[in-house]
Amino acid sequence: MSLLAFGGGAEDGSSSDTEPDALIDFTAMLMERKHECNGGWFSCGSKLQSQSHEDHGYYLGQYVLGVLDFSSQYGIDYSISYTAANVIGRPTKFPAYGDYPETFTMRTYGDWWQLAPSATQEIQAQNLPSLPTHDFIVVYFEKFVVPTEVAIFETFNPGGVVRIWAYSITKRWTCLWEAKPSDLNQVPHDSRRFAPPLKKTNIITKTLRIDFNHSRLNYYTEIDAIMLCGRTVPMRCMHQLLAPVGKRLGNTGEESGNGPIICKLRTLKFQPSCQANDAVKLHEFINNDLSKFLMDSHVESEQQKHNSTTEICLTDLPCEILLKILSYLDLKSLFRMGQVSHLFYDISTHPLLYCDLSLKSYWQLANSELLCTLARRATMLRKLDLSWCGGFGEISPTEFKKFLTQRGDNMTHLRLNSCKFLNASCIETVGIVCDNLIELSLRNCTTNPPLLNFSCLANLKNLERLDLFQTAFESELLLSMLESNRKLKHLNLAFCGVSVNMDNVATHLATYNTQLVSLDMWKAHFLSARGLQSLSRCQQLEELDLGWCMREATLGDSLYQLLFNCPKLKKLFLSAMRGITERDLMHIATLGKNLEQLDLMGILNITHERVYDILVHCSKLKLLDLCFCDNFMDRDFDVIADWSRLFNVDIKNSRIYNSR
Amino acid sequence: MSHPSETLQMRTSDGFVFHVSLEVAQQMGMTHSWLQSERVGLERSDDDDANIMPLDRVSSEIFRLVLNWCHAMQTIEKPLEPKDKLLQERAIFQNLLTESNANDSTIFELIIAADYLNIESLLQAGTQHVADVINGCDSVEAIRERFNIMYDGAVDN
Repeated sequence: MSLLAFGGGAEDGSSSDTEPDALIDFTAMLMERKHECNGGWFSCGSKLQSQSHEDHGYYLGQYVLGVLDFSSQYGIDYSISYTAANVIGRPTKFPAYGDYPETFTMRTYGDWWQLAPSATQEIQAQNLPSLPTHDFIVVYFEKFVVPTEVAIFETFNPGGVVRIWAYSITKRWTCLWEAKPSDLNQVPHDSRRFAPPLKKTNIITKTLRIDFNHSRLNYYTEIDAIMLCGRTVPMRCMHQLLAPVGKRLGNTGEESGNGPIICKLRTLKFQPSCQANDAVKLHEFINNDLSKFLMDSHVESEQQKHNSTTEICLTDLPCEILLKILSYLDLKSLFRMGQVSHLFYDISTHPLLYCDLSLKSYWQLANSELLCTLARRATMLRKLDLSWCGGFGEISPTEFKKFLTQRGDNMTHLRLNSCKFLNASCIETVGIVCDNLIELSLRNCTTNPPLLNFSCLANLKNLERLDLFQTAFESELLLSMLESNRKLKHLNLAFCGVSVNMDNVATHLATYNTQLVSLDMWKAHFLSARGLQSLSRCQQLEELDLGWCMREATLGDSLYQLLFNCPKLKKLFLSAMRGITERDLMHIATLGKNLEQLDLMGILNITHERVYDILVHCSKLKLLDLCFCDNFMDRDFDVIADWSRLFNVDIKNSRIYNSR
Repeated sequence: MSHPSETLQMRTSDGFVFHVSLEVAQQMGMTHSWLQSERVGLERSDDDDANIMPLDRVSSEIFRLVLNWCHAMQTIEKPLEPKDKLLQERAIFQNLLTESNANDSTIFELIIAADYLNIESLLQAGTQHVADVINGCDSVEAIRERFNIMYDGAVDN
């Protein structure tokens, strides 16, 4: 990551030539109507014919007008380096290949975060597709089109895109393309205009969501621009299409490419004939009626089985075994199973199957009705993941609060990452109802004013994990939560913004949260040597991310203190901390016995002797990031490459993209 | 604890007597409870019947498959990550099925036997296998066809 990317607002002009006004750009494209970069977009004839084209629609290509949402970015919001906003407008760097701050970059790459001490387990992991989505970005364009091509301009480490979704005017998400594992195999080490073959469709859209999976990426992937090509729809057709929405919904089943099951999932109105408690009903059924039911369904007794050659079928298995089988099904198959027969309906609605519930993989289908149905079944709910759901109003805050009030009191894990439907009263409900929470994850909750304010979550006292990545919160609330949650082990405060004084946070942690295992302070403000020194009281620390903190500050011996007192450190990120001295690097080598991941990106005083030192002494090291350590000569890189092989450490250096 | 030379006699529902090494038999939870309740040691006594563990709910055909599974379990290298271990067990189960040309009925009998004999790994592999088949079905109708389940009236509204 380039050191030109200072966090402050005053950027030097030379770092970027991003077009400030994408709208003018787009209009210019329309007027020109000629092919641009390789592949280009369809020409549309001269302006004279524009009138008839207004009637019939014309082909056009357009760049991103704005960003609606993104799960993660490397830079901080008010900066223009490595942020999601860089995807707006024309590409600025393409077809160049390299690490440029004028692009959109996400915070993670590869599997390294899954291997770190702060890694979490997926809730209801069987719901995940074979190539799960790690991050996403939602962008919108100016004109509605019927999409024919979506081109993504990748300028560094291509190959992260796994899904392309489009939001149609009928308020449905359609998956236009999905990667197969073979697609991610042969990816070139070069910039590319990635335009995979889209599903044939008639939907009309101007909003796209791009899904990313990082696990095969060697380093950060960077996106310069996204282009949406398609045929516009004449105004009169648009009116026709938008007016009788009710009628159109009948056809959208095919349009969005979703089968009857998914439609069913959307319009779930399961209403069992009895209104009594489901669990009791099942109990009664198993005790009284099940044997008769099985008899009626021609289940043979043991003796008959031996005499005859009749086969055993699925329904002959005891209920507990059927329950066990169903517990492996993903949610969609589980609902499907419930429609197979009455027996399977009863088993598939058993509360034990709804202890761990995740709608993250079904974000495009999740709505208030589904929540309502699940509320009836999930009487033993412990873990809930509603991340990414309800982004376009499909889930009402009222329904969510009702769900929580009914089922939240025994909840231990709650993940609400990128949940756009959350409002202040929702968070308050979490604080009041879910007091048994061990884990609370509220990533990407950047509203203004922040939702996390006053004492809305102060009632939570059992937290071991609190994830506020890219979320704004009021300092007072955080400090009071730290005081109340003495068992806190994992804390993520990345991108918390200028309003939080990290020295205060560090002092609080040192006093109240000495069980801390992982701490992420990426791009934090106002952390000084004093704060770093306080952190050395958290002697259980295994992971510490101080990237882009303490930029110019001198560390004194605070880093030494930290390393000395926290021998369990496995992951240490010190990206762009210019105050790191050669002595600090020596201390890392001698004291960092358990280090597995070390990020020294942009450290200026590093020499290759220090690198060798670290490689020799840190025997468990697996990842070492040395990008933008400008002290290294070109020839040093060859030596470092040898060492990488010799010590079996993945070493990232800025020369990666130069070698082909 | 394991005495490779020691064998346990086990009789299936259809009268076949299997001589199973103690190590393999220990994989079955049922063996533990039987050994504790019925016998004190493995002394050979005159009354052979008392030394034979009855498996009243498992046929010889199924028990042979169970033994194949237990033998395969012994050959796995012990220190494995849980995820890899699961994958390997599923692969072994898959082999077991293809080798014996198992049909649905056999699979279900195997699952019932695993439950009865209290072999957690086999039960897990078997039930996961069936779940995978269900996950592979694209529609409700496909599930009914695949498992020959009768349609007993509309369940949804």
